[in-house]
Amino acid sequence: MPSAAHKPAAKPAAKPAAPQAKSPAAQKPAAGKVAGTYAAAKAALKPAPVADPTLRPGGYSEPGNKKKKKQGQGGNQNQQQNQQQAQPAAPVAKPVAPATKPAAPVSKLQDPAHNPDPTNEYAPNAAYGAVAGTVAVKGEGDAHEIDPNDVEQGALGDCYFVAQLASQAKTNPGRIKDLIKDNGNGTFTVTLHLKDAAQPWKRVATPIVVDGQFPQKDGGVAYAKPGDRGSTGPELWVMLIEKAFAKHSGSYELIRGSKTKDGDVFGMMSGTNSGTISLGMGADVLLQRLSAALANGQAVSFGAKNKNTADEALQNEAKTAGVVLNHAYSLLGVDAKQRTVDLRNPWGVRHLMAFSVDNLKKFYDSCDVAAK
Amino acid sequence: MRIEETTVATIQGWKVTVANILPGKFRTPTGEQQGLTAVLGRYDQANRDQGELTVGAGSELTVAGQLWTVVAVVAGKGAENGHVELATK
Repeated sequence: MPSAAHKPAAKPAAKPAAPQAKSPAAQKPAAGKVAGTYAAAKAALKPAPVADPTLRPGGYSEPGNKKKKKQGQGGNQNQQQNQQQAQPAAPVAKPVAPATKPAAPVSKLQDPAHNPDPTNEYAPNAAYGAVAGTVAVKGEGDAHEIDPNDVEQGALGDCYFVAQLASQAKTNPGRIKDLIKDNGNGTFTVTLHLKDAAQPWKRVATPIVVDGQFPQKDGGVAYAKPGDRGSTGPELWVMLIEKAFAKHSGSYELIRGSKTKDGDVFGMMSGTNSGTISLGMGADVLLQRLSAALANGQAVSFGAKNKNTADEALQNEAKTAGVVLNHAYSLLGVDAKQRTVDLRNPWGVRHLMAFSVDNLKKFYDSCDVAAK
Repeated sequence: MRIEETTVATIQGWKVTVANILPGKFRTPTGEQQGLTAVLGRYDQANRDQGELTVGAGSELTVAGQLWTVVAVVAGKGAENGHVELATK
């Protein structure tokens, strides 16, 4: 049985019932051992050819067409009027009202009233409830208002999704900040770079408008949790991005790891499909590669082995080591001297700090790296 | 209630995590049993670790002062997540 070797949360606090404030343990995880289906989400990725850096925006701007100015009628107006009065008035055709152009339909993605089905297989009674908050708050222990500490997975098997959000928050929080705009009217526009239907190796920046309603269950937020609590309410960025992706996918059920059609969350945030690092390379080379990625501002996440790739003996060893199989983790740090890595569990607890690189190679089988 | 493997449920403000469903030994009120087990983590409202348990069908655990029984531990097919089913005693 894995030992729970985590320091108690430094932050104080009772969580309010609903909405729930961020759990105090954006825990500084303890050193030493402690740690949707990831494999299925990976299977949703098609191998991408060399990433095309060209981004196609959400719309094209037409070249301006200068309208010709109408030439005014010259002449003596009075004279013209007199001429008209002398003759019997010709029947004046009733002017035909110009056909009113129907308002362009608002796409479902841009309609904040259109919400994805809030339920999933394990939360069949989840229902929408309002959570008034703010996009981001710099809380205690946060290096930035968008911080890995903000990420806490809930009752949805989307570990691949939230783990990559946390990884990105570590290396490039500004990228996440730029994705979300508070519209000032209770709605938010989240821009995700979604796979182009015709050319799925390309991504298209797609604005998705969501409101402040989130699935709730048993008196609290059901899925990704609110983050730090600010003066205007809890931090919502994780919940907003999760909802936007669910909206694009059609439901929260469809962003579970076993159901998602796009497991490349790094690609969704950057516009460029992510790459991979093989965990089969030598341990020291692997540490160098991981260090270089972090130094380069590239987010990294790992997928733990699953029951298909780990026999019963390895599964038991993983359990002893505190590794959650079939789960995704974020890379927070590398210590090349100690030959360890710091892995963050998207649960917000059970992290694997100072985890040996040999154990990383033993218990994990995939490593994704975001584009720079 | 059912909790999917690798996810986090909230019970009375406590977090309950489910991991690593695999065959093994577990305890019930009647003694040690053998069968499908799951590792359940519990964190109170202040996010303090309340201890991890290896449970199987028939195991009991306390969450937020209430006693719960493990009704079933179900493995997923292939690489899919399984789940644990809990009921209040």
